[in-house]
Amino acid sequence: MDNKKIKLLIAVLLLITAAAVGVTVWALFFREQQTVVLTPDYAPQEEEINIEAIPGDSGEKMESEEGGGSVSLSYSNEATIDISDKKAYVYFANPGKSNQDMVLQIIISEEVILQSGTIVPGYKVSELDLLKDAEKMLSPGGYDGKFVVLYYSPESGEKAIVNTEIPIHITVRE
Amino acid sequence: MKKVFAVMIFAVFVQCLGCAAFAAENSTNIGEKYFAEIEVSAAWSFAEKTPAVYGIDIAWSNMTFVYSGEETKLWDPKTHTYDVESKGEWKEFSAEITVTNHSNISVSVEMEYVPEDKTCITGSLSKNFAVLEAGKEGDYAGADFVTATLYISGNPSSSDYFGGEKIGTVKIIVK
Repeated sequence: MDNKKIKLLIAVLLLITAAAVGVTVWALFFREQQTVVLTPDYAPQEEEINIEAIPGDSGEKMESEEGGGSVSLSYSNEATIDISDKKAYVYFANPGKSNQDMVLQIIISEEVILQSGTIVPGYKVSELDLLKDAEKMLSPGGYDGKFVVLYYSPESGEKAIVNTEIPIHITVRE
Repeated sequence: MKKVFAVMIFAVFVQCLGCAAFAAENSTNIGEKYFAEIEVSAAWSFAEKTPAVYGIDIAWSNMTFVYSGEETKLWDPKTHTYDVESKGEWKEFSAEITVTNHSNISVSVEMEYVPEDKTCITGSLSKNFAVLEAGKEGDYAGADFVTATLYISGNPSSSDYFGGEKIGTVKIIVK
């Protein structure tokens, strides 16, 4: 093999090596990671920013045994997601008679696309922000999804042993 | 001839009286003139919509379960070791969960106990499924409900559960 050919071979090998190193660096440091949402064991420190007081709610509490809990849910099983707004439009309320704070998740095909902040008793939400980049997983149309409602003690912030799932229908629009 | 003419004139008058009597049934006499009356009617069409509104109450009793155990160490003089005998029982082993339907639509309720990973403690519910009737108008107190009892069993070791660790979750699915 003459010198020219050897040089060309070395150049090609160097190029392949550089490309492989580049791909490795990109995969390790720059590739977008899939967001994994873990259900918090303690209530989020921040109250949900989109909450509104329920008009005319007396705030009279349900009876509850010491160490137990009681919640009241008021909701619609239809939700709309606007991809361009990156928001979900829902009706979900934690009436004042509940004695637990709530966190609402919307799940489609086991992917959490939305997790609210704390919804305290006596308040409702009608719009919520999607999780970062969740809109990229969706396209216009109808989806079967679910609300997952988590309950937290207002005193300790600890998650209750009971949680609730509610199947819902979600319409996604652009 | 005059008599015949008079009779004919009388007959014409009598017929005219009959016409006036028939006309009175379907016309209004205003200023001695007759007008035909056309009835105009309206029918009230009313579609009442009652969209489904869900209102669910969930209450649960104290979910802290207490296992009371004791260990006895018996000295074996032949091997110079202790044989450990342990026994115990659940002092608090059940709790109730009640779901009440205040919706204007019937709902089905599924309940499931989901143990934490790597726990030797198990749980079972006395009821796993119920259909709750829609709320009746004006009868808040009579709302349909279901109560299930959660029973806990198993033999926990004191080292694993000394701090009152979480052992599981009750998942309630409302459809």
